[in-house]
Amino acid sequence: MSNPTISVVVPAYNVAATIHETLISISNQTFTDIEIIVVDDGATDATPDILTNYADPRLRVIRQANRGLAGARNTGIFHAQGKYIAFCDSDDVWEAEKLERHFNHLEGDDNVGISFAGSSMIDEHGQRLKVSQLPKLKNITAADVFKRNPIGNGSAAVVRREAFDCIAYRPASETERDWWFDETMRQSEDIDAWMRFILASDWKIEGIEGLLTRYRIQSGGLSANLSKQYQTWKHMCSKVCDTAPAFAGRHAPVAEAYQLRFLARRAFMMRDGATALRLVTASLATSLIPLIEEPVKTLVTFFAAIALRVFGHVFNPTTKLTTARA
Amino acid sequence: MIQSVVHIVDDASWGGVNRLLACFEKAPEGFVHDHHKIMRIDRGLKMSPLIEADVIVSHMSVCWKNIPFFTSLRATHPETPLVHVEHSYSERFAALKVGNRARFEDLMRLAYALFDKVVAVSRPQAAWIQRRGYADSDQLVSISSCVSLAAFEAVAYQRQDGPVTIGAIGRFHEQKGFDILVEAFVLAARANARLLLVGDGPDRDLLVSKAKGHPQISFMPYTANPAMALAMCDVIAMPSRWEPYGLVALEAMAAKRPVICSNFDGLKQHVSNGAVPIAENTVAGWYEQIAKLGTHEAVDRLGLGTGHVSAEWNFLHAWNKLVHELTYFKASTQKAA
Repeated sequence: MSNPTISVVVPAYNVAATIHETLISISNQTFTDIEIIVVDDGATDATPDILTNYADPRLRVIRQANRGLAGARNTGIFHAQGKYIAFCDSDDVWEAEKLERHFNHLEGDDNVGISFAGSSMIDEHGQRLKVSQLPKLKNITAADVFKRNPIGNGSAAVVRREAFDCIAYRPASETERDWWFDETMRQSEDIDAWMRFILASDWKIEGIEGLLTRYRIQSGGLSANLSKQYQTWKHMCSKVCDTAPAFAGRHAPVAEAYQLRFLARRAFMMRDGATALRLVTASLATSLIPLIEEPVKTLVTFFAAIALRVFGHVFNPTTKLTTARA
Repeated sequence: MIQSVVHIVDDASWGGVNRLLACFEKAPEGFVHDHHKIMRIDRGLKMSPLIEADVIVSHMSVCWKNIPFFTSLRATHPETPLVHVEHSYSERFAALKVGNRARFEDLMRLAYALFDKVVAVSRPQAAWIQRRGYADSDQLVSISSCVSLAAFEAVAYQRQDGPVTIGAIGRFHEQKGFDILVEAFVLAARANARLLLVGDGPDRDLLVSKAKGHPQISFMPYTANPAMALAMCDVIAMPSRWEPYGLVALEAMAAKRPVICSNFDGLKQHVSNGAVPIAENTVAGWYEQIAKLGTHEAVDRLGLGTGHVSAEWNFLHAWNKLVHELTYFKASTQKAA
């Protein structure tokens, strides 16, 4: 049997509630020459049973002790045999033509290393939210990735294996296989990998039209995690500074302001007005460029945070302001 | 038949290319078939002088400012085979330093189209040039750069006791990434290791300030005898952010010093020859590596590279072959005419 054209890598850790829907959306792809590699990252819920009972001959399940999202993706990449690798997190859902569209894109231009598309958003019940991720698609520069991460979420990218291997490395502590995503990071591992990719190679990152992923926004969560998320983002940023000091000098403050604005919007969704206001103020203090580049979104975030802070007890924010990811 | 090969060089690449060409002069008799000589071109010159040669080899950098010169070189030497050696660019350079990729691609294709052959200085660089389509596959030749290695081989067994000396040799410039190394060394604070930085350049002040007067970090200016500088080191660190080839790795291998380097561009070739790749070319990545280099035994465990073995011979042979190919065809058509 020859190798499949696309390997779909699905990291799975305690996702019994959602993974079935995810797998159905992969099995139903109009592009069929695929293998589905689910990495069971030490799940302790019913995830393994769901995987055992899932009937698709193209499915391969790899079990490992928990290594986190990056570690599960890396194991998937290590086992992948396809010319292209698509990532799908086990709570997101793909539109049926997603892989076909990316396949055509990657086959049509050998300079594209990472192909991505926009996403619609769904809530935890799978209901469509009114907002979408509609990122910039063409002429993506390192500054674009750093500031706005157009790839957006972990289920949007399809990568060319030959190109993606340029970011593979083997930390001294690792004995089994290479890393592509940094397993020491529990957040920001996506943007870290995309930044290393665009600063290491001259393959293109390019998007195609359409909202091809349904990206699930989990409500709830704790504001305390936002601070952790900020710390991991700073860690990613320090790596960018080491790799490209002149570039980082020019863009890091702006990128940080965008990241703080993104976290402010997250805090807003958690109905934590005080944190949202603190973060959006910090964002504006770090750089005013987001106010110039995206005035509406920046001002809405600012005034929404104030409104929530002041009227928090009577104001019930809906998910309308669900953010496009910074 | 002995052909005359003229290498044209501008001030920017004068020193490096001189060392490269010394390889021809110092080669044992019979190893070099043709007569190679070097010609210095003033920077910014728009018109090429008339050059008497059977083959002209450019070591000048490809940039928009040099396009008039390259064009006139082609126009005034329509029958002479022209070769360009690509010393400047690599994939990581393009990723990190090129703002306008489309303009860069236009420049590369336009400039390379003026030459009969383009010489890549390492295999990874050749693969990149080919993948990007800057040169046709029959136009592209990969000849790994080399210098005369005898002086380096001569210091192979000179060793010193005392602390482990980690050496970093080269231009103090963003490209070489010595700032990463200095920061990592200060963090690691190993009592029995020292860091020796040999060279000079625009980042000198930055490096000195990052070293914070650390007693185990010392600076040394370039020496006319680079082998002597290498002899003072136990292991060579190359945290380059981009590197078309990385000659220092080859010199270190000849001097039997282990090499630790970042794993991209031309350095990948040295890794395939036994240099130790750094996992991530960041302060954290080098910190992890330096923390392990406390003893001479730890340095020995890194192992020695073999890239220097036959490197000179391969280099000379490849040039002999290239010149022969370019002139044989011409000679036979002339005869036929």
